Amino acid sequence: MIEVHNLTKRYGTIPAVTDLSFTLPEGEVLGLLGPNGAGKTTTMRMLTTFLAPSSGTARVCGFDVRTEAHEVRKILGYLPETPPLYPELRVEEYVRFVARIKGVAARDVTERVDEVLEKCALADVRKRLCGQLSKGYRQRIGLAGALVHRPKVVILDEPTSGLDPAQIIHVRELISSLRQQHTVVLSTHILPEVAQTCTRALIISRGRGVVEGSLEALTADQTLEERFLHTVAGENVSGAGEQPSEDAR
Amino acid sequence: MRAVLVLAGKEVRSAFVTPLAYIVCAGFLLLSGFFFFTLLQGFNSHLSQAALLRDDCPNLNQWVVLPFLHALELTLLFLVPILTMRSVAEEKQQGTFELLVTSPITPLQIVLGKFLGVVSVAAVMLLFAFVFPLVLIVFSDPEIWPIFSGFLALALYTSAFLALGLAVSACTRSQTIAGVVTLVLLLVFYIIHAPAPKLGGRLAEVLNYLSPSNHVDLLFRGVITGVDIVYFLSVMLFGLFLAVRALEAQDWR
Repeated sequence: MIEVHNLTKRYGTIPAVTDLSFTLPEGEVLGLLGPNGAGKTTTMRMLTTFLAPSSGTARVCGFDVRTEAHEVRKILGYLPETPPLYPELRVEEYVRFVARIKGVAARDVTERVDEVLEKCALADVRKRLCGQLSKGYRQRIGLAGALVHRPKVVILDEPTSGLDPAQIIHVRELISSLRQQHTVVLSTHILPEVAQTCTRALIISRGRGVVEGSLEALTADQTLEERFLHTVAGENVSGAGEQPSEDAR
Repeated sequence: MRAVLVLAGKEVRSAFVTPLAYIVCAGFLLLSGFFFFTLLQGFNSHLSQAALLRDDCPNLNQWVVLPFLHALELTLLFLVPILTMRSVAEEKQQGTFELLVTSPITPLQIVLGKFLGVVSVAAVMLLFAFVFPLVLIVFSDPEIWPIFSGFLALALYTSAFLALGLAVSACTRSQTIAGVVTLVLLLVFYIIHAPAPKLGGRLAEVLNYLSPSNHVDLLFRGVITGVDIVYFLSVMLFGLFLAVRALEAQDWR
């Protein structure tokens, strides 16, 4: 479903992602793990065609993100770290707008919008303005936008950041339920989240993929925490603070 | 085409559910009403003077319509940046740009949608301002043709500048920068022919051709020439082209 080969992104001369390779079969949920600034967001932005790779290739459902970006965009749902909401639109209007620009056929729009609002538990706030709702709601509105066109691949950048515990549980349940219909890539720095929602994990450190595999394989001989700290810690001690923050861009 | 209309619809909706469109329209109407009133007053006193001296009756078009159109020309110059500054810069600022770029729509569709949206808002403004010459038509007897061709000129002029403003807005994520740069650009355009008489020669011709004021002049007087129409359309297309290129180049950084 997703094949990434030697993917590299440099901002000027500063490398953000270097020689990243992995594949993700259909129906799996991949957790991108890594400390802040490791290159998780940059990787996702390349997969979603928002950023062009400096070198290397990435294919989503067989379509190259650089040369067949338009095809990739049709089959992809993306929730950036900050949900891309228009504060002046009502929830319903927003999801309807997203459905339309994602190319949902005119006669299906209403049905799809209702369906996805129901799924993301937004039915009771559908008439409220996006800008007036709390972080938890905004995250779910963004998720509704990412799912409304029934994408084959869903990419979620830190979907649970800034939510309260109850909201986190709800969003995680929602992500787990996506597995039946979608292939999911999500990024996080919360380790238990990977254990709960993902089937595979990829640990990224300083722009390089360090460990990749199914969750069972990764947690066979040591816990995910141990493995994470083991692979990330050594480099972090020497390089802490040097890493350019991708969030600042 | 459908995507363009969806985007344009969203632009118009956003403009009219936030105070922006109302404030810009209100400001425009207040200013144009003020100009119209002042000009009419001037015309009135002139009329009574002419009656005393048994002169020819002064021309309404020359005393009211023409200066009124010129006043609107200048007012629009200041309002265009306010209309366009947010269009793309705000999307970049609030993160919705990522949504647009990762959707199956092309930069051209995004630009056309934005342009159509902001042109619609400007059209509403101009339509309201048409009330003033309508008053003249109802209560007096001006030449009608220059009024229509004058508003056509304003529509072309505004569209061309909106396209330029859109291009500037597509280059930055700061609305303030987009607004200021657009305003400076339009003001430079407005006075670009000023040094022409001193310079003379080929350069003067070029500067004179580039000046929008030179191209509205004949239209304001009721003469529609191809050169003027082509000028405004080419500025507009140039602006849209730049905006598309700016969006296409977004991942160059």
